[in-house]
Amino acid sequence: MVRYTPLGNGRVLVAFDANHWIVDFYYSRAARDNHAVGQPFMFGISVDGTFRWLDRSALRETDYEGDTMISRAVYAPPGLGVEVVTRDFVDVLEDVYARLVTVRNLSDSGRRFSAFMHQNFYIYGNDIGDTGIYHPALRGVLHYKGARYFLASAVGEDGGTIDQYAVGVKGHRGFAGTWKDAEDGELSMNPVANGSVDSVIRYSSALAPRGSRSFFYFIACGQDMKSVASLGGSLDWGRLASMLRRTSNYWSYWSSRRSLRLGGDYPYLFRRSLFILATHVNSVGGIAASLDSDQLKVNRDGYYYVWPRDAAIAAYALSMAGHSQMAARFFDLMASSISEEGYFHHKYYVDGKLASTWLPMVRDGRAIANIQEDETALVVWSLGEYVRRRGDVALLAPYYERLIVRAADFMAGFVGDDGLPRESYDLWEERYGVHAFTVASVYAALNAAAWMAGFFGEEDRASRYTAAASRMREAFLSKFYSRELGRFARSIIGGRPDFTLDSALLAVPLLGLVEPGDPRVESTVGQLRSGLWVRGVGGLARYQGDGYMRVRDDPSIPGNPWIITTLWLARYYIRVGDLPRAMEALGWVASHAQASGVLPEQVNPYDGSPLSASPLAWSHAELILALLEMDERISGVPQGISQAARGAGA
Amino acid sequence: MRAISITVGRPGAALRDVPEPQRRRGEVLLRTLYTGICGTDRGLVNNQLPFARPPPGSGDLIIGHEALARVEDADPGTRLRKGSLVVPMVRRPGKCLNCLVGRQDNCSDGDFVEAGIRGLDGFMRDYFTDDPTYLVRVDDESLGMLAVLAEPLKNVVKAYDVYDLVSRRSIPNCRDGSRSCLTVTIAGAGPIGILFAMLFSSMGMDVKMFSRHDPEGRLAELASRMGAEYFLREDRSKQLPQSDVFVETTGSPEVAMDGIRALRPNGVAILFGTAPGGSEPLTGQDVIDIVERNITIIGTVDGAKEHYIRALNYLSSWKDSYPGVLKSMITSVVKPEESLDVLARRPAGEIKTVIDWQ
Repeated sequence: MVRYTPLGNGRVLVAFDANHWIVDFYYSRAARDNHAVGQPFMFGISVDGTFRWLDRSALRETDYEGDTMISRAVYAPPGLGVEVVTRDFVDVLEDVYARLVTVRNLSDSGRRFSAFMHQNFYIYGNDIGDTGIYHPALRGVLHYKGARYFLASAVGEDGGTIDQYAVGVKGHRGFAGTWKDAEDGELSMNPVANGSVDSVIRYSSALAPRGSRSFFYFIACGQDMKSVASLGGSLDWGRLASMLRRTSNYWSYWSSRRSLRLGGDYPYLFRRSLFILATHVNSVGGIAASLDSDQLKVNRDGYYYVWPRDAAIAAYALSMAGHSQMAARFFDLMASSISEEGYFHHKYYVDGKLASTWLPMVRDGRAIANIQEDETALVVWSLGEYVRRRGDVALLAPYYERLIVRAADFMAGFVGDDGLPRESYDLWEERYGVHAFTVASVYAALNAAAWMAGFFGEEDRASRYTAAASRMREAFLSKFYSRELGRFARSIIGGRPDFTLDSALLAVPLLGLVEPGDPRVESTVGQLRSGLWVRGVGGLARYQGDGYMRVRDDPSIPGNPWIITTLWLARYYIRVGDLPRAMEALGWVASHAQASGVLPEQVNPYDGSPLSASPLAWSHAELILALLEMDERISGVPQGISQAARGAGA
Repeated sequence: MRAISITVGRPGAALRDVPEPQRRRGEVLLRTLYTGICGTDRGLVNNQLPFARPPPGSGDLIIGHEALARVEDADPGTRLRKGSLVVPMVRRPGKCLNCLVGRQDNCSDGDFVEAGIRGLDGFMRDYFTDDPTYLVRVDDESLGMLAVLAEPLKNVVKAYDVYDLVSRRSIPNCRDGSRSCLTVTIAGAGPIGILFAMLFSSMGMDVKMFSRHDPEGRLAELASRMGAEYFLREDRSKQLPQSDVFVETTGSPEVAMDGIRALRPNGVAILFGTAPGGSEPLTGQDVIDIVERNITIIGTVDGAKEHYIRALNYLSSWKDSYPGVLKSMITSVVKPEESLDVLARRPAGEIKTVIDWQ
């Protein structure tokens, strides 16, 4: 399910469902733990005694406010005669999530309203051993467990605060949850509960005829009672208004750093993609693949991990758009996470600890490296390519020995007798073998590493990397290309080429393994386009016969169209100067973004609705790269990958 | 439903009963709330615009290109929901590179269409359908009918961007980094001239605006409320003040050259107004002055979606920072049935007339 208008500061990260209710609430030093895990924090209102939850049936608009990381929603609850406008934000400096609520009276008579805010914490992702307690000195409800404390309260423009509260047990012993208590417009004032707990607080005020009233609802976060009391106790109307202003200013300036010459919706999608990507970057450099926890319901595992592949592309996109400071934190994390052998594992928690995997360490009775080698390669490539293209050598120095040399030495040595990379898992995490995408990424990474080594005066090392890359390219051309079929194989598995049409082959030109204008590439891409472009809804499928999240068994559909694959196609057409086709692919992506700019991983091939994790950081990173490349193309900036990736020296 | 249309090639407009549009998949059905009347509409009604053309297969053209509309129906999952307020874009792309990337305002081969002007029906009708790509959402619903000013203002916002770009060839700023020491002279005090004045004034520049008539002193009063200065210039005998930026909104070549001749070194002339009449020789001395003083003359038309969005943001901000000024620009509101005379002839004292379709 789509997560709308995510908001974050690297430690606190919240996301909303289609009701504009919080359903993901991450908080820790690295925003690692999800304390909502998809369960809604509801929001309701009672006007002159008539209560209703403000859900999607009353929601008229939800979007980011201008070019800021403020989420604005407009509710028009039928029959209540009021309009409710909310502006949510996570403060850019302090660990505070807040919502400015403005209730407008649409009638000519005075009214009285009460707003009900529901806290539905599953602290550390579970509902065991939580405490919810009304704190009279802080005039709010505190939820806590271990080192996670959350204080929920409200403050009006007149200085007033909550007038009722209720804390109770949810989903246990026959209790639906404390939210039920709100539906009669009065709360029980029960002051404490433990175990599986939720709570509701109420803010009430009068409305003049045609008048309006505003209040802030907030959740202050802390690691202990002292810190949350200190922070939460300091939040009055003036301080929260100041936080809203600075958060708005910060993101407005942050997003305007790089402008585009493109028109239509592209400038706004570019800035939104930057915001959305930024919410996925935490304070220690972890870049999560997706904050959408909905996958947990399907697999009991999700996308809230650092895949070095996805994260490297995201770091590259942020850097190219002028935000290399965020990328630097990622390279810090990667430098401290790289294995002794010099490779990256399958995935990591957002704080850099090793995460769950389904890649085995043994295959056919033989010990294997349970890695996807392209993940190691793309981390090296993204740093080298950015530095080379933008000349930002200051970013390179701290990571050259700790990260680049170690990974490049591994890649230069992890080759078979034929010069190709040894077997590992593919980027789709499905097949074990030697894959075109992996060859392209390792080739690009070795050339980038050679350029960096040359830059630091290590000519022997540079030559070694260049030689390994050249040998890899020769082997690829001789073993992966079929003259008969006129295309490259996507993999060699067990010694046999697999010629299934696979969008991952677009990495061959995009990462510089073979020039985009080479007839072998043109022929391959032509076949990819005709075989993988999804009839009807459009977009490029991942590969022929893709079964991942397939909607139904239908031979006319090669697979669900993906955002990243369609953007690869766009980037290829930009490289070869076929701008109408590039814009067709870009336009398809733009038309499948949510109003807030959120992009999913995949699209339903029958109705165009979003599928799988949404937002997906990689989708946004690819959109940023495609738009930058298009902008550079129409501005006359030389296209393609840098000389470094082609094997030219420093 | 009601629609105001012209027969291209003949003077006059008519309020006609036309079929309601049928929304196709991917389109949005819109209820027109307000449309603004501008000089282009009058040029169309009086058959003075050679570029006017009806949609393919029709002899009639529904006019109207400044509008505020409300979404009545849209596909599920569309960015716009029922009830959203929108401003529709005027120009729609052709096939050139600028059009291809969404910058049809910079179309390089003229292969575009414009709603209510050339090749595409406009918005002076009760309902219309449109592609959401060309609809700009109005977040600040309190703007009400003032949102019709977004269309003319987007031209001004783009013109400012072009000015900003070309002015950077030298150091355009004052010693304190601001542009407060720069003077702007604006020829014409119609809606476009006033919007130029508001924008340059909000940038902190010293703005002077002039026209040939201000019978009741309303323009002078309006200018002072936005921190600008107004002066009468009934004929060319009155010398224009020296300025760093000159904006021409009347379309008079004589006024344009007067303004260009009054520019200081590194000055920029923005030509926006168009009119078929008049002539003014460009002398050898003019060429010498333009060259020796690094004068830039820019022509600018239309704006991109980005400029509509920024125009709406400006309107939202100006309604508070220049209280009453925007409202006083709407000098009359008429029903469609009352609009034909106003469309044919500009009423005395008019700044902007709005047609209320509700």
